Amino acid sequence: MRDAASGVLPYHAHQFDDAEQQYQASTLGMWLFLAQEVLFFGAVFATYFYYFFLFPDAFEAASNHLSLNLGAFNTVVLIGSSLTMVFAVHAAQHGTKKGQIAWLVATIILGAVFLGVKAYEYTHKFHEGLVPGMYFTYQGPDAAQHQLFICLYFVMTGLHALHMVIGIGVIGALVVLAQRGWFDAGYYAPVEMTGLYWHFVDLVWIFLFPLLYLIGRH
Amino acid sequence: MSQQQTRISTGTSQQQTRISTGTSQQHTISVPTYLAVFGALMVLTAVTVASAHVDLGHFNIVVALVVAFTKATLVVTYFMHLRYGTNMTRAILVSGVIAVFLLMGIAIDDLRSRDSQTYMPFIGALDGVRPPDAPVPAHPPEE
Repeated sequence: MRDAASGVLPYHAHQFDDAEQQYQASTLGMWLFLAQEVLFFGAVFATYFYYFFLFPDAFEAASNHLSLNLGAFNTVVLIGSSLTMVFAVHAAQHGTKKGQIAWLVATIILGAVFLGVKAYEYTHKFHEGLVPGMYFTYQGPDAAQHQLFICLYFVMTGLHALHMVIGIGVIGALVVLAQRGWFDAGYYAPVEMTGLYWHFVDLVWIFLFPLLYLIGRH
Repeated sequence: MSQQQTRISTGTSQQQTRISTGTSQQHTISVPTYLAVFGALMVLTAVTVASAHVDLGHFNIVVALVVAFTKATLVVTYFMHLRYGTNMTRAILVSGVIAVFLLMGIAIDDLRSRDSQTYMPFIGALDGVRPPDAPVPAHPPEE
Protein backbone atom coordinates (compact mmCIF):
# COMPACT_ATOMS: atom_id res chain seq x y z
CA MET A 1 0.00 0.00 0.00
CA ARG A 2 1.12 3.52 -0.73
CA ASP A 3 0.89 6.57 1.48
CA ALA A 4 2.15 10.13 1.63
CA ALA A 5 4.89 9.29 4.15
CA SER A 6 6.60 6.86 1.79
CA GLY A 7 6.85 9.60 -0.86
CA VAL A 8 4.42 7.87 -3.23
CA LEU A 9 1.09 9.36 -4.29
CA PRO A 10 -1.71 8.88 -1.75
CA TYR A 11 -4.98 7.32 -2.92
CA HIS A 12 -6.76 10.63 -2.91
CA ALA A 13 -5.70 14.27 -2.85
CA HIS A 14 -6.38 16.30 0.28
CA GLN A 15 -9.32 18.28 -1.16
CA PHE A 16 -11.42 15.11 -1.51
CA ASP A 17 -13.25 13.28 1.27
CA ASP A 18 -12.31 9.88 -0.05
CA ALA A 19 -11.16 7.98 -3.11
CA GLU A 20 -14.74 7.52 -4.30
CA GLN A 21 -15.41 11.26 -4.37
CA GLN A 22 -12.13 11.84 -6.17
CA TYR A 23 -13.06 9.20 -8.74
CA GLN A 24 -16.49 10.80 -9.29
CA ALA A 25 -14.87 14.22 -9.72
CA SER A 26 -12.47 12.86 -12.36
CA THR A 27 -15.34 11.19 -14.20
CA LEU A 28 -17.41 14.38 -14.14
CA GLY A 29 -14.51 16.46 -15.45
CA MET A 30 -13.76 13.97 -18.23
CA TRP A 31 -17.38 13.86 -19.41
CA LEU A 32 -17.50 17.68 -19.42
CA PHE A 33 -14.42 17.65 -21.65
CA LEU A 34 -15.99 15.02 -23.90
CA ALA A 35 -19.22 17.06 -24.17
CA GLN A 36 -17.08 19.93 -25.49
CA GLU A 37 -15.44 17.52 -27.92
CA VAL A 38 -18.93 16.57 -29.10
CA LEU A 39 -19.54 20.27 -29.85
CA PHE A 40 -16.15 20.61 -31.53
CA PHE A 41 -16.71 17.69 -33.92
CA GLY A 42 -20.41 18.58 -34.10
CA ALA A 43 -19.57 21.83 -35.89
CA VAL A 44 -17.63 19.93 -38.56
CA PHE A 45 -20.43 17.36 -38.92
CA ALA A 46 -22.93 20.22 -39.24
CA THR A 47 -20.83 21.63 -42.11
CA TYR A 48 -20.87 18.21 -43.75
CA PHE A 49 -24.65 17.88 -43.50
CA TYR A 50 -25.17 21.46 -44.70
CA TYR A 51 -23.36 20.72 -47.95
CA PHE A 52 -24.78 17.23 -48.20
CA PHE A 53 -28.24 18.76 -48.29
CA LEU A 54 -27.06 21.20 -50.96
CA PHE A 55 -25.31 18.64 -53.17
CA PRO A 56 -26.48 15.13 -52.22
CA ASP A 57 -25.81 13.57 -55.63
CA ALA A 58 -22.32 15.06 -56.00
CA PHE A 59 -21.39 14.02 -52.43
CA GLU A 60 -22.56 10.47 -53.05
CA ALA A 61 -20.50 10.32 -56.25
CA ALA A 62 -17.44 11.90 -54.58
CA SER A 63 -17.65 9.34 -51.76
CA ASN A 64 -16.54 6.70 -54.27
CA HIS A 65 -13.10 8.36 -54.50
CA LEU A 66 -12.36 6.71 -51.16
CA SER A 67 -11.39 3.07 -50.70
CA LEU A 68 -14.19 1.14 -49.01
CA ASN A 69 -11.87 -1.76 -48.11
CA LEU A 70 -9.35 0.46 -46.33
CA GLY A 71 -12.12 2.32 -44.50
CA ALA A 72 -13.79 -0.89 -43.34
CA PHE A 73 -10.42 -2.37 -42.33
CA ASN A 74 -9.68 0.74 -40.25
CA THR A 75 -13.12 0.54 -38.62
CA VAL A 76 -12.39 -3.00 -37.45
CA VAL A 77 -8.91 -1.96 -36.24
CA LEU A 78 -10.25 1.01 -34.28
CA ILE A 79 -13.13 -0.87 -32.63
CA GLY A 80 -10.57 -3.59 -31.83
CA SER A 81 -8.38 -0.96 -30.16
CA SER A 82 -11.40 0.09 -28.06
CA LEU A 83 -11.72 -3.54 -26.96
CA THR A 84 -8.04 -3.74 -25.93
CA MET A 85 -8.51 -0.41 -24.09
CA VAL A 86 -11.42 -1.74 -21.99
CA PHE A 87 -9.28 -4.80 -21.21
CA ALA A 88 -6.51 -2.47 -20.02
CA VAL A 89 -8.99 -0.69 -17.72
CA HIS A 90 -10.30 -4.07 -16.59
CA ALA A 91 -6.75 -5.20 -15.77
CA ALA A 92 -6.14 -1.97 -13.83
CA GLN A 93 -9.38 -2.46 -11.85
CA HIS A 94 -8.21 -5.94 -10.90
CA GLY A 95 -4.67 -4.80 -10.23
CA THR A 96 -2.73 -6.93 -12.69
CA LYS A 97 0.29 -4.93 -13.83
CA LYS A 98 1.34 -7.22 -16.68
CA GLY A 99 -2.19 -7.20 -18.09
CA GLN A 100 -2.41 -3.40 -18.02
CA ILE A 101 0.87 -2.96 -19.85
CA ALA A 102 0.13 -5.65 -22.43
CA TRP A 103 -3.33 -4.28 -23.29
CA LEU A 104 -2.14 -0.66 -23.36
CA VAL A 105 0.68 -1.61 -25.73
CA ALA A 106 -1.83 -3.56 -27.88
CA THR A 107 -3.99 -0.41 -28.03
CA ILE A 108 -1.01 1.66 -29.15
CA ILE A 109 -0.15 -0.88 -31.86
CA LEU A 110 -3.72 -0.93 -33.23
CA GLY A 111 -3.83 2.88 -33.14
CA ALA A 112 -0.55 2.98 -35.07
CA VAL A 113 -1.94 0.54 -37.66
CA PHE A 114 -4.95 2.82 -38.12
CA LEU A 115 -2.71 5.87 -38.63
CA GLY A 116 -0.48 3.90 -41.01
CA VAL A 117 -3.46 3.03 -43.21
CA LYS A 118 -4.59 6.67 -43.00
CA ALA A 119 -1.13 7.85 -44.12
CA TYR A 120 -1.29 5.42 -47.06
CA GLU A 121 -4.74 6.75 -48.02
CA TYR A 122 -3.55 10.37 -47.82
CA THR A 123 -0.51 9.60 -49.99
CA HIS A 124 -2.77 7.90 -52.51
CA LYS A 125 -5.03 11.00 -52.60
CA PHE A 126 -2.00 13.20 -53.34
CA HIS A 127 -0.97 10.92 -56.22
CA GLU A 128 -4.50 10.93 -57.62
CA GLY A 129 -4.72 14.72 -57.54
CA LEU A 130 -7.55 14.58 -55.00
CA VAL A 131 -6.18 17.20 -52.62
CA PRO A 132 -8.15 20.42 -52.17
CA GLY A 133 -6.41 23.48 -53.54
CA MET A 134 -4.12 24.03 -56.49
CA TYR A 135 -3.25 20.33 -56.86
CA PHE A 136 -6.85 19.25 -57.31
CA THR A 137 -6.91 17.77 -60.82
CA TYR A 138 -10.25 15.91 -60.96
CA GLN A 139 -12.04 17.09 -64.11
CA GLY A 140 -15.29 15.08 -64.04
CA PRO A 141 -18.79 16.43 -63.49
CA ASP A 142 -19.40 18.47 -60.33
CA ALA A 143 -15.66 18.98 -59.83
CA ALA A 144 -16.19 21.85 -57.35
CA GLN A 145 -18.52 19.78 -55.18
CA HIS A 146 -16.10 16.84 -55.33
CA GLN A 147 -13.37 19.17 -54.13
CA LEU A 148 -15.61 20.33 -51.30
CA PHE A 149 -16.23 16.72 -50.28
CA ILE A 150 -12.51 15.91 -50.39
CA CYS A 151 -11.82 19.05 -48.36
CA LEU A 152 -14.29 17.87 -45.69
CA TYR A 153 -12.70 14.41 -45.87
CA PHE A 154 -9.26 15.83 -45.06
CA VAL A 155 -10.54 18.14 -42.31
CA MET A 156 -12.67 15.48 -40.60
CA THR A 157 -10.22 12.58 -40.81
CA GLY A 158 -7.31 14.96 -40.10
CA LEU A 159 -8.88 16.21 -36.85
CA HIS A 160 -9.73 12.63 -35.96
CA ALA A 161 -6.16 11.48 -36.67
CA LEU A 162 -4.81 14.36 -34.55
CA HIS A 163 -6.94 13.12 -31.66
CA MET A 164 -5.53 9.64 -32.17
CA VAL A 165 -1.94 10.90 -32.13
CA ILE A 166 -2.65 12.65 -28.81
CA GLY A 167 -4.38 9.53 -27.48
CA ILE A 168 -1.42 7.32 -28.40
CA GLY A 169 0.89 9.75 -26.59
CA VAL A 170 -1.24 9.66 -23.44
CA ILE A 171 -1.48 5.85 -23.53
CA GLY A 172 2.30 5.73 -23.94
CA ALA A 173 2.62 7.77 -20.74
CA LEU A 174 0.22 5.36 -19.01
CA VAL A 175 2.47 2.44 -19.99
CA VAL A 176 5.39 4.13 -18.20
CA LEU A 177 3.28 4.87 -15.12
CA ALA A 178 1.82 1.35 -15.07
CA GLN A 179 5.37 0.00 -15.24
CA ARG A 180 6.14 2.02 -12.10
CA GLY A 181 3.14 0.45 -10.36
CA TRP A 182 0.93 3.55 -10.17
CA PHE A 183 -2.38 1.80 -10.78
CA ASP A 184 -4.19 -0.85 -8.79
CA ALA A 185 -7.74 -1.72 -7.75
CA GLY A 186 -7.86 1.35 -5.46
CA TYR A 187 -6.60 3.93 -7.95
CA TYR A 188 -6.98 3.54 -11.70
CA ALA A 189 -8.78 6.77 -12.70
CA PRO A 190 -6.10 7.87 -15.24
CA VAL A 191 -6.46 4.58 -17.12
CA GLU A 192 -10.25 4.83 -17.03
CA MET A 193 -10.30 8.48 -18.18
CA THR A 194 -7.84 7.82 -21.01
CA GLY A 195 -10.13 4.94 -21.95
CA LEU A 196 -13.10 7.35 -22.14
CA TYR A 197 -11.09 9.62 -24.44
CA TRP A 198 -10.02 6.71 -26.65
CA HIS A 199 -13.60 5.42 -26.95
CA PHE A 200 -14.74 8.92 -27.87
CA VAL A 201 -12.23 8.93 -30.74
CA ASP A 202 -13.69 5.57 -31.75
CA LEU A 203 -17.19 7.10 -31.62
CA VAL A 204 -16.20 9.88 -34.00
CA TRP A 205 -14.89 7.30 -36.47
CA ILE A 206 -18.13 5.27 -36.16
CA PHE A 207 -19.90 8.31 -37.67
CA LEU A 208 -17.12 9.34 -40.08
CA PHE A 209 -16.89 5.92 -41.73
CA PRO A 210 -20.46 5.74 -43.13
CA LEU A 211 -20.65 9.48 -43.92
CA LEU A 212 -17.40 9.53 -45.90
CA TYR A 213 -16.97 5.99 -47.27
CA LEU A 214 -20.43 4.50 -47.60
CA ILE A 215 -22.97 7.06 -48.83
CA GLY A 216 -22.26 6.52 -52.55
CA ARG A 217 -21.89 2.74 -52.84
CA HIS A 218 -25.39 2.00 -54.13
CA MET B 1 -16.46 6.96 28.62
CA SER B 2 -19.33 4.99 27.23
CA GLN B 3 -20.41 8.07 25.22
CA GLN B 4 -16.99 8.30 23.69
CA GLN B 5 -17.03 4.65 22.79
CA THR B 6 -20.42 5.08 21.13
CA ARG B 7 -19.12 8.01 19.11
CA ILE B 8 -16.08 6.09 18.00
CA SER B 9 -18.12 3.08 16.99
CA THR B 10 -20.56 5.33 15.10
CA GLY B 11 -17.64 6.88 13.28
CA THR B 12 -16.30 3.52 12.25
CA SER B 13 -19.62 2.23 11.03
CA GLN B 14 -20.14 5.41 9.00
CA GLN B 15 -16.73 5.02 7.48
CA GLN B 16 -17.44 1.39 6.69
CA THR B 17 -20.72 2.34 5.06
CA ARG B 18 -18.98 4.90 2.91
CA ILE B 19 -16.27 2.47 1.86
CA SER B 20 -18.74 -0.28 1.02
CA THR B 21 -20.85 2.20 -0.98
CA GLY B 22 -17.73 3.21 -2.83
CA THR B 23 -16.93 -0.33 -3.86
CA SER B 24 -20.47 -1.22 -4.86
CA GLN B 25 -20.71 1.87 -7.10
CA GLN B 26 -17.58 0.95 -9.06
CA HIS B 27 -19.20 -1.77 -11.13
CA THR B 28 -16.88 -3.68 -13.36
CA ILE B 29 -18.24 -5.18 -16.55
CA SER B 30 -17.19 -8.78 -17.19
CA VAL B 31 -14.89 -9.83 -20.03
CA PRO B 32 -17.59 -11.94 -21.80
CA THR B 33 -19.84 -8.84 -21.88
CA TYR B 34 -17.06 -6.80 -23.49
CA LEU B 35 -16.51 -9.53 -26.07
CA ALA B 36 -20.26 -9.69 -26.80
CA VAL B 37 -20.38 -5.91 -27.31
CA PHE B 38 -17.35 -6.10 -29.60
CA GLY B 39 -19.08 -8.90 -31.57
CA ALA B 40 -22.22 -6.79 -31.90
CA LEU B 41 -20.17 -3.82 -33.14
CA MET B 42 -18.50 -6.04 -35.78
CA VAL B 43 -21.90 -7.38 -36.92
CA LEU B 44 -23.27 -3.82 -37.16
CA THR B 45 -20.20 -2.76 -39.18
CA ALA B 46 -20.92 -5.61 -41.62
CA VAL B 47 -24.61 -4.58 -41.71
CA THR B 48 -23.77 -0.95 -42.50
CA VAL B 49 -21.34 -1.93 -45.29
CA ALA B 50 -23.86 -4.41 -46.75
CA SER B 51 -26.79 -1.97 -46.56
CA ALA B 52 -24.73 0.69 -48.32
CA HIS B 53 -24.74 -1.47 -51.47
CA VAL B 54 -28.56 -1.60 -51.53
CA ASP B 55 -29.93 1.26 -53.61
CA LEU B 56 -32.22 3.30 -51.37
CA GLY B 57 -31.45 6.62 -53.03
CA HIS B 58 -30.70 9.38 -50.54
CA PHE B 59 -32.29 7.21 -47.86
CA ASN B 60 -29.00 5.25 -47.66
CA ILE B 61 -27.44 7.92 -45.46
CA VAL B 62 -30.37 7.65 -43.04
CA VAL B 63 -29.90 3.87 -42.69
CA ALA B 64 -26.13 4.41 -42.20
CA LEU B 65 -26.81 6.98 -39.47
CA VAL B 66 -29.30 4.75 -37.64
CA VAL B 67 -26.69 1.95 -37.55
CA ALA B 68 -24.00 4.43 -36.45
CA PHE B 69 -26.19 5.69 -33.59
CA THR B 70 -26.83 2.10 -32.49
CA LYS B 71 -23.08 1.40 -32.47
CA ALA B 72 -22.41 4.65 -30.61
CA THR B 73 -24.99 3.72 -27.95
CA LEU B 74 -23.27 0.35 -27.41
CA VAL B 75 -19.85 2.00 -27.05
CA VAL B 76 -21.12 4.68 -24.66
CA THR B 77 -23.15 2.24 -22.54
CA TYR B 78 -20.63 -0.58 -22.11
CA PHE B 79 -17.12 0.55 -23.14
CA MET B 80 -17.56 3.99 -21.56
CA HIS B 81 -19.42 2.52 -18.56
CA LEU B 82 -22.30 4.99 -18.76
CA ARG B 83 -24.59 2.13 -17.77
CA TYR B 84 -23.16 2.52 -14.27
CA GLY B 85 -22.52 6.25 -14.53
CA THR B 86 -24.32 8.96 -12.61
CA ASN B 87 -27.29 10.90 -13.99
CA MET B 88 -25.00 13.95 -14.03
CA THR B 89 -22.64 12.34 -16.58
CA ARG B 90 -25.64 11.27 -18.69
CA ALA B 91 -27.06 14.80 -18.58
CA ILE B 92 -23.71 16.27 -19.68
CA LEU B 93 -23.44 13.93 -22.68
CA VAL B 94 -27.08 14.43 -23.70
CA SER B 95 -26.80 18.23 -23.47
CA GLY B 96 -23.77 18.16 -25.79
CA VAL B 97 -25.62 16.02 -28.31
CA ILE B 98 -28.74 18.23 -28.13
CA ALA B 99 -26.61 21.33 -28.78
CA VAL B 100 -25.17 19.70 -31.92
CA PHE B 101 -28.66 18.74 -33.13
CA LEU B 102 -29.79 22.36 -32.62
CA LEU B 103 -26.79 23.62 -34.60
CA MET B 104 -27.48 21.23 -37.47
CA GLY B 105 -31.24 21.65 -37.36
CA ILE B 106 -31.20 25.45 -37.47
CA ALA B 107 -28.46 25.58 -40.12
CA ILE B 108 -30.26 23.12 -42.39
CA ASP B 109 -33.65 24.74 -41.85
CA ASP B 110 -32.06 28.04 -42.83
CA LEU B 111 -30.72 26.40 -45.96
CA ARG B 112 -34.09 24.82 -46.77
CA SER B 113 -35.85 28.18 -46.48
CA ARG B 114 -33.67 29.78 -49.20
CA ASP B 115 -33.98 29.34 -52.95
CA SER B 116 -30.91 28.54 -54.99
CA GLN B 117 -30.50 32.16 -56.19
CA THR B 118 -30.22 33.39 -52.61
CA TYR B 119 -27.81 30.87 -51.26
CA MET B 120 -25.46 30.69 -54.22
CA PRO B 121 -23.54 33.91 -53.38
CA PHE B 122 -23.15 32.58 -49.87
CA ILE B 123 -20.95 29.73 -51.09
CA GLY B 124 -19.68 31.69 -54.09
CA ALA B 125 -16.10 31.30 -52.91
CA LEU B 126 -16.19 27.90 -54.60
CA ASP B 127 -15.36 28.57 -58.21
CA GLY B 128 -17.77 27.09 -60.74
CA VAL B 129 -20.46 26.17 -58.26
CA ARG B 130 -23.88 25.68 -59.82
CA PRO B 131 -27.31 25.28 -58.26
CA PRO B 132 -28.09 21.59 -57.75
CA ASP B 133 -30.81 21.67 -60.43
CA ALA B 134 -28.62 23.27 -63.14
CA PRO B 135 -27.68 21.09 -66.14
CA VAL B 136 -24.24 19.50 -66.13
CA PRO B 137 -21.95 20.97 -68.84
CA ALA B 138 -20.61 18.54 -71.42
CA HIS B 139 -17.00 19.78 -71.05
CA PRO B 140 -15.13 21.10 -68.03
CA PRO B 141 -14.98 24.92 -68.05
CA GLU B 142 -11.87 26.49 -69.63
CA GLU B 143 -9.32 28.01 -67.26
